[in-house]
Amino acid sequence: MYDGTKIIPGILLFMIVLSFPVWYDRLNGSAVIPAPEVKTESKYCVMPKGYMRSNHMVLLDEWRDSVIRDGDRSKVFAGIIKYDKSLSNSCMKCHNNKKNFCDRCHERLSVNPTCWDCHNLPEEAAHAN
Amino acid sequence: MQINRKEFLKKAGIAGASLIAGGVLYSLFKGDDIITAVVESSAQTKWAMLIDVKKCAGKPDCSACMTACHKGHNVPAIDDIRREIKWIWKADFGNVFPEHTSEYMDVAVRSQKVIVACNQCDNPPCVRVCPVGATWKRADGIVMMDHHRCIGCRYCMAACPYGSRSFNWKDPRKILSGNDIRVEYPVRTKGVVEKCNFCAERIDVGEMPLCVEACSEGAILFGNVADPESDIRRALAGKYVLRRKAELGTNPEIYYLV
Repeated sequence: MYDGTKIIPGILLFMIVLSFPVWYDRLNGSAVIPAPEVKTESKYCVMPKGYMRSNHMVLLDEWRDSVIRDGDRSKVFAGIIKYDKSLSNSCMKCHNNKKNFCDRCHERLSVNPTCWDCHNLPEEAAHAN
Repeated sequence: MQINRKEFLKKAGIAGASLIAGGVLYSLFKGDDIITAVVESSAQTKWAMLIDVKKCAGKPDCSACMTACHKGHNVPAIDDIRREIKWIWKADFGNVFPEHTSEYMDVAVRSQKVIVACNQCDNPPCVRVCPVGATWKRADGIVMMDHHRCIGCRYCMAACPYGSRSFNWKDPRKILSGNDIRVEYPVRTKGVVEKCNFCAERIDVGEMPLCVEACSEGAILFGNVADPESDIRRALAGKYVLRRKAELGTNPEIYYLV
């Protein structure tokens, strides 16, 4: 190989630069998967944890469409509990801390859902009382 | 039978033309009945409201229905008439029913306040113009608004002959203070249109609309006009009632007893 002494270190250097986000995160300790804080007395969620973790947005979209578009405000059964199909009135009754529950993952993944532009946080309820 | 090329083309042409003409004629006669004075409906439920103007006028300072509605739905109070947001409000009789007002009508009568809101039209012009399907008519007649889909083009506001729709020029959260917000019901965002929804969220769970519940005079009667046995149908049966601009063919579902 011609100029192997230049090419091989060059490739190595390139790989190091390319993988910067990975090793920088590791070294910094910021590569930890965020743990949303679940502070709730209820043992029952509407769906298993794994499904909720990956598909809660799908579920919320389905609820939204069925409540608003179809006017179907029937309740959802979870274990022994009945829940309204509602973000503010069901989900956030248990998961009442948006900062430590919703935002931890959303910030990490850089997604900006607009839910709370209109839907209210339970903190505001505390504020009102 | 022998048929030559010229003859064949002629016959094929006639057959084709008559097919197209038939289709055109059929669609012309069948039509999309845009303006029908009375829309026949087979729905089991059709919500409507009967407002007793006299009972309401007996208490000119009362604003119980408006307060209940606007508080319950997080409607911000804005003084600027060009920016204000209204679901239910009071207007002069002369402005609500210009076609029933004459220049010789007593000013006191003409300026009597009448409660107005979205008429939940049977043939809603706002629904016809909405380009994104953010507003539509439910099976029970309620003209709903899906703020998730609204793009704020305001076509519906231009189409509504009653001015029943309001646009959010500002983020309502900045106007409503923390104490005013009812957490159970969402606020709107800047750039969407909103209006009275006949309290769909309450009707669906078997409750009466907030304004009906709040009225101490019983001036607002709410019910199902598809049911001949309902209170509202009995009340409507023998009375002379008005509807706002009924001649437009929108078929409003708010009736006024004057």
